[in-house]
Amino acid sequence: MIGQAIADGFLTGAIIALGAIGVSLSLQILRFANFSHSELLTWGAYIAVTFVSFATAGVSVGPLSFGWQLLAATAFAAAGTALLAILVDWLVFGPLRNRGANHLTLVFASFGAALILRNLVLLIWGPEARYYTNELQIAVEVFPDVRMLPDQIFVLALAFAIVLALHLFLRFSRLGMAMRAMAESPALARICGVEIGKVIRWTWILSGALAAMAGVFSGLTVQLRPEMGFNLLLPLFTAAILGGGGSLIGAVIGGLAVGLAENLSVLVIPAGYKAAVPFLLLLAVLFLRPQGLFGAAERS
Amino acid sequence: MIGLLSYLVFFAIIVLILGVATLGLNLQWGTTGLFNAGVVGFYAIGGYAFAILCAPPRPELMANFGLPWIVGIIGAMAASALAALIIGLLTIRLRGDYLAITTFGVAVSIQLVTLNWEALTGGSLGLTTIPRPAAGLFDSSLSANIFYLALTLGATALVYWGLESIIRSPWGRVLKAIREDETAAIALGKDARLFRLQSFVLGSTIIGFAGALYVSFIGFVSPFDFAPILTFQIWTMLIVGGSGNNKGALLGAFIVWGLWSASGTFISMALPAAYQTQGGAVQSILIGLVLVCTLLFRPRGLIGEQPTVSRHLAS
Amino acid sequence: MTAPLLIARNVVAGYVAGLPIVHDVSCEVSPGEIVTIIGPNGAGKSTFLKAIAGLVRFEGGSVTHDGRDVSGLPAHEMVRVGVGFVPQTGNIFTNLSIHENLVLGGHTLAAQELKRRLARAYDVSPFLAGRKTSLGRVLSGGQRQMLAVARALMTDPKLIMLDEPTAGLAPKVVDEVFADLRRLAQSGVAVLMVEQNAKAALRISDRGYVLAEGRNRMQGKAADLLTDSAVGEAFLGGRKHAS
Repeated sequence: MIGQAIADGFLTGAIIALGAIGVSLSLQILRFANFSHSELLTWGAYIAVTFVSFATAGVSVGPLSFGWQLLAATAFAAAGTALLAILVDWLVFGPLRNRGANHLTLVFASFGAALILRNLVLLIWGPEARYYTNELQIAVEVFPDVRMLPDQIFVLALAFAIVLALHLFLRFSRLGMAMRAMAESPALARICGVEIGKVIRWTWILSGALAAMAGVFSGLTVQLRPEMGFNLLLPLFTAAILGGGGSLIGAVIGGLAVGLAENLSVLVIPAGYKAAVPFLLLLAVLFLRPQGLFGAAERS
Repeated sequence: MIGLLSYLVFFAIIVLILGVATLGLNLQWGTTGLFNAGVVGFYAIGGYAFAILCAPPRPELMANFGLPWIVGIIGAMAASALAALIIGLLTIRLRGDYLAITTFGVAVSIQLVTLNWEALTGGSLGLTTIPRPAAGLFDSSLSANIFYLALTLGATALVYWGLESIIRSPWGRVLKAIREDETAAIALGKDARLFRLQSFVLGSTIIGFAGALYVSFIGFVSPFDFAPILTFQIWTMLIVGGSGNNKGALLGAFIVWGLWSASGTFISMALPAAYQTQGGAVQSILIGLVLVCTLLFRPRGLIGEQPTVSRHLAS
Repeated sequence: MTAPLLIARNVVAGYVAGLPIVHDVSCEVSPGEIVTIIGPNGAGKSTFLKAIAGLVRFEGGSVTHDGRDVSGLPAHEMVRVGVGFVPQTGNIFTNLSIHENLVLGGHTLAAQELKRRLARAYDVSPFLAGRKTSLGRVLSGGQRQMLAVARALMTDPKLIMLDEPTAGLAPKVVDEVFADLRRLAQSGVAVLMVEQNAKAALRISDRGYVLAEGRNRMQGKAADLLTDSAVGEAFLGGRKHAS
């Protein structure tokens, strides 16, 4: 039981982590809590399902339920969602930022953006649950008494590969350094010649693309629904805050912690309350360690 | 004619009830600067507390006391106040978006409780046959509704008048001072945290009161009445009307609910039944657009706050 | 005397539109010259530097650098025209390593050029070379100042502006910082700084400006300002670390 819950927790956690990285980037670099971030997950998942409906999910490769087409769909969704994120910034957040609006005004605006984005999904794709494939899979025993579907193992591995790549990017590329610099001090970054607009654009591109992947993975391992992202909003914020807002590793560990806590909680509390677990975790963190588990610097 | 009149009465009651909730939020945000993103949670607590206290007993439910209306209203306010006190003690020191995220989580958790604690809340089926005050005195539903309209009008006026006097009182001026510059307010010897907590509890109590009025009017309560979108609707009402201004809060409730109802009516007439879900989506998109456009093009809302604050600070 | 590199004329600037802090300030700096701006707290000294650097609202006047009009140019452009700026607080990235700080200093350079300049910076400072991977936040005040200047020099600026480079530093370190600035000026760089530590700063400067209430009050050779009784009474007596 516990072994299975841990395995499931890692899977949910990896998906939450991908989404939480974007929340964390926007808290640090764009400096506001973006309540519409979760809708980017939904959009990513649905863009991919549209791609799949034209190309099909492909002939299953090995034990997986899909073929290379779904990977192509994921890449397409990542690009599409990144564009969508930039579009929303251009229409909504950018003008507010340029006006020098209070950062809480950006949070209100993100309420509105979230409503629009979520309901556009409902409008375009309808309320029914959707799936990428109808292939049935046989769970494999990865450890004694721990079973996972091949798709789930694939998603877990791919999520970690993406996180690793992103870590290397932020750590060693000059753009990644500029992003970290701007997270600490926009003024000093500008003095160094960093173009703020460019960093903001790349922040949206990264968080949009990662959100899309989280959405596709969530759709692949559960299902697609218009409210799938919205239901992940609280876990995403919890993971980002748990990780201390700043570091990528923090957001990833925060994501895993939320995923594990949700799945392990089912062993002790009724499953109906599972969705409240991130909130309890959030309360505990904010109460005991407001700077997050890995945060060092204070947030003003 | 009767149909239209009934509809207008119904519409006015809902506007006033949401207006009361918006007034409560305005105390928290407009006056004190507390970012409560869990409005619907306190609204639900008020609604459910009222239902549990006043609905007639049913064998499968642990509560349902069948108590008098006014006891239900007072109980609903007490329950919201208590919940706000507990949540406030845990979260009041958080700033801006962190408070927003936490209170958003509160609302999510409260909806889960209403859905899952079946013995108390009736689960997804909810609670029914919740009484209205003096319901037996009227022979038609229209006259009963007109009576309830008078009641909510009185309640709204009471809340409005109370908040206006509070804001003008020394206590209200401290709240505004804290909102503008907490450090300065602390330097003047004001315990900012205590004032913020008081404002949070009072605002949530008012929101809970609105929830009770709503449930008493509809006569039925279920978790689906308290979907997260209500929080965003009430925020939109405040921002459209102009936060920091109680008249603005009421005006915003009228305009936003009017837009919501009008677009809903139009869609239900224009679209075939099969597309009603999509129609609901259009309604929500409209609310989102109104919110975003207000922030972009009229950031102070239709009637914003009178600039009295800096004078207080300067004196 | 060579022609001035930086010419600021009647600059008006501030943080909020319509509420300028710098009302009317002019100043010139020539290559190889150290110019110090002194004045009481709130005189608008820092804001004036930030206005040239493109960090605050530029509301009026003009700035030319190397013959080019750079009035109100945004900060990320200023570094490209050859103006380096070392702010007073937050002058390095504390969450980044020394190496990363220097890489950011050379953000506008091409990869090959960046590599050469990094090697040069490490040649000049064995201290930085020895602690490439240390995070900025573990450095002392003097070490931070050293890193901040090294960072600003990555792009070989023609003009370097420093906002209170010696604030909070031990007297011995202050001397080192000033000696470094002197050497920098000798190599032909124009140095413009704001200092509370007015006496010590004027001693190593060629010229000085006195600002008060966002306007020019006095200006002249540093040596003259040091001996001027009016300046001495107002700004030089016992105000070493007023901030």
